[in-house]
Amino acid sequence: MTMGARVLGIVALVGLSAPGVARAQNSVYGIAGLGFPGEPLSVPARALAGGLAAVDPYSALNPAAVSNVGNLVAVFTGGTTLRRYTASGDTAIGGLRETRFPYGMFGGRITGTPVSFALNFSTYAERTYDVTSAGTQVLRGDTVQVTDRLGSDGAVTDLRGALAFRVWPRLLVGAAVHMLGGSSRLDVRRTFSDSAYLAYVEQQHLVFSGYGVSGGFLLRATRAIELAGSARLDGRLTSRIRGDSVGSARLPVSLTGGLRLSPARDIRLSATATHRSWTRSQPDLAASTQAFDTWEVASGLELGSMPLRLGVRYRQLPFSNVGTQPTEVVFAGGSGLLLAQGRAALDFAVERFRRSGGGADEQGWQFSVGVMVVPISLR
Amino acid sequence: MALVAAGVVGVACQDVVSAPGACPEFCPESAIDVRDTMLSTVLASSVVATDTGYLNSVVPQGSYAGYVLPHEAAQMPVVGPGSPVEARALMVFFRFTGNYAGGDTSVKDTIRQTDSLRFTFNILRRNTNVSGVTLALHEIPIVTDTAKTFADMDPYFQDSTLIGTLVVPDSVDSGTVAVTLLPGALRHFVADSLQSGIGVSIVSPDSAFVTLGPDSATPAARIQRFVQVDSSTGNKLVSRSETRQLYFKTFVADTAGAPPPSGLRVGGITGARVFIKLNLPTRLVDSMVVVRASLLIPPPAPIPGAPGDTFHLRVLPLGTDFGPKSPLADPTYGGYTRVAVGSSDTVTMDLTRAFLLWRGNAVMPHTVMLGMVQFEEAGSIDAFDLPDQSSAASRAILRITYGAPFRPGR
Repeated sequence: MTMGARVLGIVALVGLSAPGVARAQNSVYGIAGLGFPGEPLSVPARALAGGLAAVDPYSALNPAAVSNVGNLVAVFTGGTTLRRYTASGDTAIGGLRETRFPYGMFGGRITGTPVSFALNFSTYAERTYDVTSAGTQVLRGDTVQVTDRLGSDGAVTDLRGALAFRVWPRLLVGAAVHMLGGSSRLDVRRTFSDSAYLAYVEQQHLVFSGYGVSGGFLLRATRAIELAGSARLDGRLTSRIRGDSVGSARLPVSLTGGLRLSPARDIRLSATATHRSWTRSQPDLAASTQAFDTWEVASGLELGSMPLRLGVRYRQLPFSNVGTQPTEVVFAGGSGLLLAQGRAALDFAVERFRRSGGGADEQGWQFSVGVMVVPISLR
Repeated sequence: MALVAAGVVGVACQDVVSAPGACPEFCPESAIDVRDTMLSTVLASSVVATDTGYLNSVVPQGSYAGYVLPHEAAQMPVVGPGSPVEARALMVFFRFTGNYAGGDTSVKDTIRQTDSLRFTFNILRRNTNVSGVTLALHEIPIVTDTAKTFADMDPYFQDSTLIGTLVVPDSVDSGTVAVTLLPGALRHFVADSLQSGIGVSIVSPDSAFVTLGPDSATPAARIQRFVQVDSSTGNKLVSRSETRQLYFKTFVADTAGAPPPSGLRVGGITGARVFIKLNLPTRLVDSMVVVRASLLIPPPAPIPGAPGDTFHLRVLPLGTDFGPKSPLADPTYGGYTRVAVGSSDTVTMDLTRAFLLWRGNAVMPHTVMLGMVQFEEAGSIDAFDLPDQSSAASRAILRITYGAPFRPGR
């Protein structure tokens, strides 16, 4: 197989995770505000609960890390979520299940230069839900029972183009532009107990757009210590229906810091902390929705050459329809192996999450599989 | 790798994300906004509707007749002289042959004797609050045609032409009634080559009415001849009968005693239709989701017609609006309601499905036809008059229940 054919094959694989089909997991906390925030993580980083994110060249958090990609590589992931939740104390829902393709990447070193590039696709905010509620309405002097169904299927997606280069042997810097897009298919229905009323049915296609920039560094202080930092500034997220703007919201400024320690050959510790100023969006949200700034702290441990990965993450969630901020705790684990004589890698991760606060308690499992393909052996 | 991808895609087909809402904490902040409104403003009846300057939501365009002629009507009204309109049914049957042709081949076809003639009529409805209704049967010329008027036929509804009477049992609200006559009762039966014409009127009580017509199993009327023929061996006479259906039917009415219409008239003897232009805000049709629409029409006077009768009033959008001959839209987009003669209650016509036709369709005119249901069209003396739209107190109005466009995050 020629190099050109290999590259074409990789591009085709990345194409499988195009914005139209890639979505992340759902959550009861994704109903409010701009949606449930996504995680631009590769599967190894997920197995470390996100602790590796700040220094991971295959995740989309710190553009400087792209310099470590090396050869051309394509990554795509798929994941299935199983979850259940209780809300408002008396609503218990189980058996919810979703399968999505939330992340993809294509990148590598530009031949003959110290510059590396990466194109990443990830979920910025998940907006998939399907909620049914019942109530009454007085119409024409009579009280009519109504059943509402509000369904949304889609996500705000984040397409990142990043460039990074090695300033000094131990210092990498990078910058990226982010193009927010994606869409959500809305299915809105109200049925009436009185058959004299036809059902209110409306189906709309909500299209999102927005832009952002990010920059970061990665410093190899010693052979055993790497430090990383990045910042991201997003503009406004605009929603349109049939080309007409139906609203926009300010997006947060994100600041990330992280480190990786390699005290021994087969022991790697990593940690990442991120702060996002979601309250910037508060003036643009519905009055009933409360936005919160969030902290996200994650740490992971990787052992061995066919690694065992473990991690834990705590993060605050940005939106609530009541005054208290929800939080999430995730315990993760996973591993990976090389395939095809090192020309491909298969990673998997299992996450156990629990989200609580704001009147709900949500628990579940996330199973992720990632495939990495390279034209040259990883060995 | 392919197996992994196929497995993932396979599982994806089984997504389960639907859940009951736990409101308000975990419901979308956007709500469905359904509202109710009346479209009614100052009206000049001569206003021609426009989308930009609608002065009135309901603008009658005109009343038109001639869609169904009396002889084409599915039913024949027979109304007594005590009603504002008196109506009589006229029927001519197919002729019999000189020989028996009843289909029984085990007998010979030579008729030795005609025993009797039986007339059977199918009653679709009658005023049930009147007892002892009596129909009078008169012999009329078999050349009776569509040009005949009530006055033309009046000489044939005299005592000299009376061939029999038929008392409708009080227990019969609908169904068949029959009368048997001797052959000699029809003086022109033989001379007319065994063909008969019958006129039906009501002789008592005056205020009664009977509507004759076919239903799914029974014709409006038929004549049966009972005869004696030779048996196949020729050594004895046996009784047989044969039946003839209607060859021609119509009705005539005397409207001289009826009050003039108090507005544009729907129905009546002519089966008139009224076209109504609805001045609808463009936004209502293009952007809103109409879940219920009702045309509320207060009758200007008690609804005229046969006392005690009811009828169906229907509304249907026009497919294209170019006057009285405008084609109608698919009947599924219309609606109908039953109204009672003599009532002064506001009549509510359902227009909900018409809005399904109009939504986002800039070509369709917002004009509706108001008429009788087809089965009753031009076969009834019942009518419905529209109110004067210049009177704010009595005009027809449009009541709309609609949902505003859903906007997420609002």
